[in-house]
Amino acid sequence: MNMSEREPLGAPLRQVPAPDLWARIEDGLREPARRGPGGDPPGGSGRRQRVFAAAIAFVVVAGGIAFAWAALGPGSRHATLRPPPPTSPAPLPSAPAQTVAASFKGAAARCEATLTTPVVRPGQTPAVTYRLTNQGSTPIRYGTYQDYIEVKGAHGDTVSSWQDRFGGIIPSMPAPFAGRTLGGGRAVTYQGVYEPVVRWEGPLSIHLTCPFVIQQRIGHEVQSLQSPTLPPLALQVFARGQAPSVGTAVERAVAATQRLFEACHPRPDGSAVVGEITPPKVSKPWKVQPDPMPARCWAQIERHPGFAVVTLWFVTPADAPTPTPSGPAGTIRLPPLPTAEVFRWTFVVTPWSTVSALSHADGKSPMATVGYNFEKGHWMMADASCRPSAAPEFYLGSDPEFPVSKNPC
Amino acid sequence: MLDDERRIELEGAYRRLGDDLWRAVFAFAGGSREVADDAVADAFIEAGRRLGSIRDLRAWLYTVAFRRAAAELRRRHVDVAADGDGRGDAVAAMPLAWADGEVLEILDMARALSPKQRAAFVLRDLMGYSTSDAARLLGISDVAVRVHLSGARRRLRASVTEAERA
Repeated sequence: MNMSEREPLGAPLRQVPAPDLWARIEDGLREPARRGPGGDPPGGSGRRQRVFAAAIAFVVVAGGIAFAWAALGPGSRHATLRPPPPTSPAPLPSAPAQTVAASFKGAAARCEATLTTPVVRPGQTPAVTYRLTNQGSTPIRYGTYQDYIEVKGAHGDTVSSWQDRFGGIIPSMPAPFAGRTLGGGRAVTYQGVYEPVVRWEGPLSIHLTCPFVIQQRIGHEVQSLQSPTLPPLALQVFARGQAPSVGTAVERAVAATQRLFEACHPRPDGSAVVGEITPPKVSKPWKVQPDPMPARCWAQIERHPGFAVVTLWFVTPADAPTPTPSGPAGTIRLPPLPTAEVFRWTFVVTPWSTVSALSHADGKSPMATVGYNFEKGHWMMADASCRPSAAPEFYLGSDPEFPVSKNPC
Repeated sequence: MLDDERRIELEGAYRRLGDDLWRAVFAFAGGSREVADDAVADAFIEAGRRLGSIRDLRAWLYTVAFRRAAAELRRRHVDVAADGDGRGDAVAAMPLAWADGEVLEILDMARALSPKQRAAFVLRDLMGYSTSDAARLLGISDVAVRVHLSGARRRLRASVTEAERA
């Protein structure tokens, strides 16, 4: 299905930030089915479905009676049934959205940041929306910039920062995009880019700068007014229920990698195994299919009340020294070998979900490489880097790459 | 409850399709985030329960989400003049959520339309789908999409002319 080629009238509509409803959908899937206000979904075949449902209900009720008789009737070993494990998370306590604001020095403009999700579950991302308001009567020029967020723990320690997604290597600062005009009294909103997946016990605080830059022409010079620092926002973490066992947490994390760690399955006790990292199967593979990489794999597991954090690691070659990162998301020192790769992938595992939180791949190879992107829950597409030189070249990203002896380009 | 494989499949579908679907329903609902959130979440939840039996997931999700939103808007029906097919909804009377200038203008335009005209207008003219794709997504025929679209454009032209005269 394709969009038509001409620019749709609704191009501005695409700038409206859509919320992430996935956590809510997951919660809904754990609730019993109910009929919504829109009637039967398409494809429903009314009477036949009802007859089928009635038959299923009869079987279930009959089975339930038989089970209850076996469990509670004469001769049963248990006088009472044990309480069943929870099948859905407790509802999130409601809390109003929090807004903090600061004014630009030297311009009649104000920046607001609104945390629409002041209470989150482990595995969810806090959503921050920024708003720039021109409080004057004349138009201003503005640009959007990076939102530099840090998440701090209860003791003021930084548990996550916007640098995490770069594996601790700070990129060169992107030039702010400027060139839009905001009329007097008008406002514009911007959805934050960096969305840390919550994997810490609360309470947390979010420290941020406003991602807008205002440009003013003074004589022949254009002066950029930097973003004001905003007061911190408080973030509560709502974790209930028992954390998954270490074994379950590792199993679910491995399953979520879509077979990447299938032949190099980390053990729950944290010890390493030697196996192979298999290139993902994608619907449109490159003409050169990489071989599996010999690797050593292990898992780091942290259990918290109500959730577990699992980081899966592999290093190739299998006998390469174990890397020592400078922090949970810090830089990795690669083994002193011509071809080596280190990959880590962190998941938040709750009784109800497994969420990919962060991944880093850091490698070098004198050969060409084929890379795969894990996006939106799937290995989506492949890419290739042509490297005809014999000297090792470095690569850094969020997904693993596979060296290939044959030039794929 | 979904097994992990199905859950990952559904989440993949959500990540691929969710944002566009939400924006389409958001525009259809006259800029109501609440209606869009509910309709899209409900559609995916329902899809999760029937994942194995849905042939065209995208079309299924659009149909269900638009139906859910339409039902909710009818439920909130305030004092809206009945349109050509005799069914109004609450869109014209609903407060607009935040939006920047251009989006606001588009949502304002869409508010003047009947639900069916608005659905066709949103998918065809705002989201840029072809007529046959819009028909698939709404679960109606190509001809019906053209009829609603023609009515929508006629009504929009009339309201623009009126605004210019004023």
